[in-house]
Amino acid sequence: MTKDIFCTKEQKVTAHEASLTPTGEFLFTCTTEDCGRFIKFPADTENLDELLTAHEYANTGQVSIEAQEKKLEELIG
Amino acid sequence: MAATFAFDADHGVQTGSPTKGTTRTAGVTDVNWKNSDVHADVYSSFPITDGANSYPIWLFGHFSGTFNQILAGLFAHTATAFGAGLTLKGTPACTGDGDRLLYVTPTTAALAALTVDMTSAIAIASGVAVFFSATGPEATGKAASMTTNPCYTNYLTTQLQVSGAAAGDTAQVTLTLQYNEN
Repeated sequence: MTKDIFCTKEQKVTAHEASLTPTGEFLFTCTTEDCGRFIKFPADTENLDELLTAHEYANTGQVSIEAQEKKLEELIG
Repeated sequence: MAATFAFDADHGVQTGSPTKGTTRTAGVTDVNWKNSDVHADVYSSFPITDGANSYPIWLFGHFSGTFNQILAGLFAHTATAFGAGLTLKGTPACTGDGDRLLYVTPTTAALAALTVDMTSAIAIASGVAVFFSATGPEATGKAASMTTNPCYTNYLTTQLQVSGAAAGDTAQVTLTLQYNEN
């Protein structure tokens, strides 16, 4: 069971595997190879799509230091 | 002369209006995400079970001493990667009273209001905007700059969420609050 969700690490919408944690929280794990980033919501969540919209808005545009280091290596050859 | 800065943190049952923690700890020099809301509890005695979450840490900045103005606040996780299976969720950007975080009694449930994924270290220039107000982090009147002394940031809340992580201590990471003063 998957849902398309914005992945903060990949900085794009990717398929996330949907599951439950042992405490009944909703867990969505990015299925992109070597990513594994997950997003978790409380067990009483009702407005999932609203929360996912807020999640995408809040995390779009993040540039990790790791990504900047790779870019610097490319720039200086 | 310069402003005196300290991180403070709220804990305990929510109280008052606007809400804040029952207990306010001043001069916090480090924080540990753990299965306890008590600041003094040793984290190694309160491990987070895999699949669960830490209690949120309701951190905030506190400015006193001598200054004209505090402004241009930014907050981010700026150094050291977490291991696999760990997600750090943090406070959204504060651009006014309408989107400041409101303190709630800490529990280990995933705190949906923490919309920013702070798992990766980023440059502080990309951090979330932080606003300031008099009285406390819970107070209204949040603004991009503040001349009132003392003044406080909005809550800089974080929660460590775990799913499939290895047992043991996490890496020691750096959270940065940057501000200008004049």
